[in-house]
Amino acid sequence: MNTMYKRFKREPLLPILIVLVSLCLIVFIVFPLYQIIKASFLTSDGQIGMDGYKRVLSGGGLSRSLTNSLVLAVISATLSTIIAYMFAYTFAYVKIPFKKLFNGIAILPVISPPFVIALSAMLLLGKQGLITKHLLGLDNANIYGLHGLVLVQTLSFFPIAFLTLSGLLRSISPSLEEASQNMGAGKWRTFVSVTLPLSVPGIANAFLLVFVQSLADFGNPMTIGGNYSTVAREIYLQAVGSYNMQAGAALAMLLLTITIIVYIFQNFWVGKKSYVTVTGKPTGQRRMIEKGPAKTILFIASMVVSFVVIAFYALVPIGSFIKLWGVNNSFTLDHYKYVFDLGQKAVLDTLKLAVIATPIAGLLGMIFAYLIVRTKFRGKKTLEVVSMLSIAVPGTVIGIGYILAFNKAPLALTGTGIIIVAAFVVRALPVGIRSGVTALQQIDPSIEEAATNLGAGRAKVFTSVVLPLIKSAFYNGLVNSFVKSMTAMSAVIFLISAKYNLITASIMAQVENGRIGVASAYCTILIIIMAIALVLLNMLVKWLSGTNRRTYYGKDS
Amino acid sequence: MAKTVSLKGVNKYYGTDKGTKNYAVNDVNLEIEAGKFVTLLGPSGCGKTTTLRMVAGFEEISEGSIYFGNEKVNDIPPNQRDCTMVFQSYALFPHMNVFENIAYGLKIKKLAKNTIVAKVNEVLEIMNLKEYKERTPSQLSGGQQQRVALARALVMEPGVLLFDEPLSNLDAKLRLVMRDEIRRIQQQIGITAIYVTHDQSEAMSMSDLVIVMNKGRIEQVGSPIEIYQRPQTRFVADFIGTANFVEGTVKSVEADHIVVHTKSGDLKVKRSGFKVNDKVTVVIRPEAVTLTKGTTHVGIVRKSVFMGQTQDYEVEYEGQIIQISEPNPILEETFAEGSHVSLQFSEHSLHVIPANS
Repeated sequence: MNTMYKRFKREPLLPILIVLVSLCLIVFIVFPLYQIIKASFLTSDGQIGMDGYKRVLSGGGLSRSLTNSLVLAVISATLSTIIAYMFAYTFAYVKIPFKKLFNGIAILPVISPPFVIALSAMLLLGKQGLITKHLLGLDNANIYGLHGLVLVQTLSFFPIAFLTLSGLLRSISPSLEEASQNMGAGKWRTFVSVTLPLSVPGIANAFLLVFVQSLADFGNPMTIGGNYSTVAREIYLQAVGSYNMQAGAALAMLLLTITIIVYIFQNFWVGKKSYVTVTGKPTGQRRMIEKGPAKTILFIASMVVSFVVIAFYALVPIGSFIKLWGVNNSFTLDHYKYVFDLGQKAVLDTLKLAVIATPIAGLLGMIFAYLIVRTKFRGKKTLEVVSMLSIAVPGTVIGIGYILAFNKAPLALTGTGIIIVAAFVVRALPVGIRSGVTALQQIDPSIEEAATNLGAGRAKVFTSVVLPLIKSAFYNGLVNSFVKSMTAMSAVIFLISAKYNLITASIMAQVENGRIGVASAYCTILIIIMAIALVLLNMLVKWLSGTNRRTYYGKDS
Repeated sequence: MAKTVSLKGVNKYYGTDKGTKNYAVNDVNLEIEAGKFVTLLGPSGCGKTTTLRMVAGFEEISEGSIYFGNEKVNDIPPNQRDCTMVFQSYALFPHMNVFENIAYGLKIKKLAKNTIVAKVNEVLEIMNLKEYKERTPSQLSGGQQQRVALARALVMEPGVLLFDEPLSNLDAKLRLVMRDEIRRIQQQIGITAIYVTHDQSEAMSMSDLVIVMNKGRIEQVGSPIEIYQRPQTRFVADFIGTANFVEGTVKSVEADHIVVHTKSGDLKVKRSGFKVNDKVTVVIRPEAVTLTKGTTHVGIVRKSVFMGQTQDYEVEYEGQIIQISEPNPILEETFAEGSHVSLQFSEHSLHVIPANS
């Protein structure tokens, strides 16, 4: 006790931080999840029972939504992985022009609002679609349903798989393939017997990433799902539409179970199977495929996919200036006028809440990372697991959890801005933590000891040494939180109120009312805001570290 | 102001699952005079670095006390202890230039701006780093980084200067230069220095006092020459330099020497303190034996290697391989493998330690 007190007196900051951070996790992750579990086992009159699960598993709409989601996820993940592998292979092995384009395409879905592809799909392939009606002359084209969802999800999510796979393929040592050829295998044989087996863990990883994304996807099923109901959508409809918390909670539990199993499988099984350590550094120089039919096929295929993706993204800004798509194709600014007249509040609310959430999530992420990498305390492992596991919790699950947890005292936060900010932060945190942890692990601990040794206290060490050294991770964390918050939908759709409305919710409302032009205008504005914000954030971080570098006695001596 | 450092019954242990204690440092007692250069020497895992880190405050002391001067420092946090450290990896701040690195601690002390500039410039001058002050650590060579690390520690004018294997990342030639430089600067400012290394030649060439550690305990404390010529245990004799060990029994004790009876005949050894019939081990350094073509103490050369300054032999003698090193080899006078040679033991260079020590 005595030594503990002494240690506390010596370093009061650390225990305070630990308590604070644990409290955040408990209140905003553990407690809501507990509320879901509790609600899923209660009947409508408050008795303990399995009613919720019975309703979900006894056939009918709810149970169909579960199978629908799984079918959709498998198809989307398979297609995404195949396209991504082709892309990644071309990127790493084939000498073709326009490679920079690939990186651009990979970033698009990360920074774009969740509906962009869905909106374009309507503009291109819907009833009044550019292709369906005007090119093919179809009168009753229907994009709504499974096929539409597969198309939209594949185009939205394959870049995530691409990032994973291209990292892996680039880190396969070329000497392995050279060894294979040296022993007599031809190019095709080498690909089948060496390259492909080595990339199996990456393929599994990419597949699972997209699988979970698809399962958790809320925006696309809401907009172009049509009659094809999915779990994430059904949770929302049950909880908010018909206020059936038992069924919603039970469904949420099932979804959560699946995503957590996938997450654990991914991290503990696929991770162990990996033959290639991804260092980010290309190992040796690979001789690229420069000619032959393989090159031609891959080049054409990847160009076609790139073109399709870019076309889908470009269509939304174009659509935002068109009066009534497919019917009256004249130029107009009406949609923007509408957004500025009626939608200003949603834009400003979103911006305000995102601006509040961004630094909180960014800093909290770095603090978490610091605690995980650099300190020792009892319960650290639990803290680490809970904080990382929250990446596997789908947004809709967070959403229903927050309704259940914060609707009544002691934490009656529903309707406040706080709860939306909390949801933003919780959703953005895991990525921030992960990039912070990676950055910190690369710093020699004796650098921090040196600062301590020269007289700096823990806070000073953090601000003067640690933070400057992990500033790019910090920046990534900030950007990620801002982008995630601005485009957040699945969790916060449960939490909006008359007091706080959000852009994404407004877009969804416009889509539901068939005002595609207005929705497109919203999306375009959102993209512009984010582009500006990214530039500003970059400048801010540069400026912050600039004051650190420019010490007042550096130069004049 | 150089300070004395004392360690009184210092222990560092980690609890195990079974409730037993794993000692990293076991009952270390030390008195280090102000202004002395003291080296903790030992193989990896012997507790030397842990001891140094307890002095710096980076490791909690499980039991015992550490004093700087008369002040007990156990409860003083590492950032307030009057000691600075040169790290093995140098631990220069990569985001600051040389000047900023050196000024870092002074800024934390909140010294006046012009004082800081003056002090940093002074130490830059001493360390020959003036022209590099605008550079970042990545733009410096290993030796320059090492000097910046030392400068950053020195500029704080600490009571105690700590070194954690600072030369292990340098190439062999530079290591020789730097150890002379560190010793020269330490002498020049008369600071108390504690230096950790596993390299015996570093310890020998720099220290006033060498502390040999093994398995968390102090094996021997002494000047470099004492440690080499009068090792008290087999571990020390073996760790410092090369040693041959011959077991025997004290046969007689004379006025200025004792006679030890061994398998290989009687050896005359300087030093008393042992009684007749004591079981002892004779420590024979390779340079304590001369080879001749005589007919007494005859052995067979099993290996003969030319090393430049010496010719090194392994000679089979009375069923034991003895390592022998002869200075100034001349081609015609060296012995080839397979030759029969006579071993002459130099009485003054032999040393006796208790058997099983």
